[in-house]
Amino acid sequence: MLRQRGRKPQGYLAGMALNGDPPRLEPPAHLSKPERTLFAELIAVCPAAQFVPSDVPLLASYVQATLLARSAVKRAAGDSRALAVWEKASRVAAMLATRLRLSPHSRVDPKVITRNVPQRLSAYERMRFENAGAE
Amino acid sequence: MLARNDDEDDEFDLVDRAALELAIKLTLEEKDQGRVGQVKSMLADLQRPWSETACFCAYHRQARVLDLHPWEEPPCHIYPDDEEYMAIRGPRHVTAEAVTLLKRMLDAGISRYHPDPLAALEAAKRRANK
Repeated sequence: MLRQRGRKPQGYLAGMALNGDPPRLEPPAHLSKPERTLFAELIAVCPAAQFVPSDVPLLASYVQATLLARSAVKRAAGDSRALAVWEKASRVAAMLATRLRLSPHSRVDPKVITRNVPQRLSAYERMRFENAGAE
Repeated sequence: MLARNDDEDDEFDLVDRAALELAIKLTLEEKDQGRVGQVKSMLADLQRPWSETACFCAYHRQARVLDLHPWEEPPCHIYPDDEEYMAIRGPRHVTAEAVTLLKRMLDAGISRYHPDPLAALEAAKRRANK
């Protein structure tokens, strides 16, 4: 199926995946290194066709809000201002996640949600997940 | 009767034997009458060694309490130090987690046939902390 008629611009095929997926978005230059890392991780785990270049600003805001919440939560227990920052940043991140179709709510059709029986984890799989971040 | 004195059962020490007897007992107490009938008929079969039925029950109980997938082996059925076994079964069915669990059990003095490995490990940890 052709998405675009006519001659393709120079370099169009260069970043194209072998399976025909569009090239993955790259983090914008204004992001810091941790933000770029999270941006790249996010892009890597989502289908290539989920985002288009016009989503970059929203994605950038999402990673910034997520990282802000992540840093604020470390101080939130003893600092009420950090707690407020965490709350606002989490709210913004959740809102953007819905807009970007990253949250379960925006991915799953409510009509079929009851049909999706959660996949059970064996004790070995639980051990693997528990140890995943520990190395 | 949970135990018989077959010569071939000598391969089990007292700890293993207690674990195997517990595995049979727990299997016979299950709600699934099909399984209960199966094990009763295995025990009644004089041609069948007691150890075979006991190991069957240990495998069944461990797979059940650990929620194992069909391709995952329970601790009672893995032999990580046996190169021949690992060459055949290891790559696909014996995960690092299975080996870790077995080693934890053996280090804690728990039989590889214990019908509830995680509960036995917890109990051993509690005893050690006392």
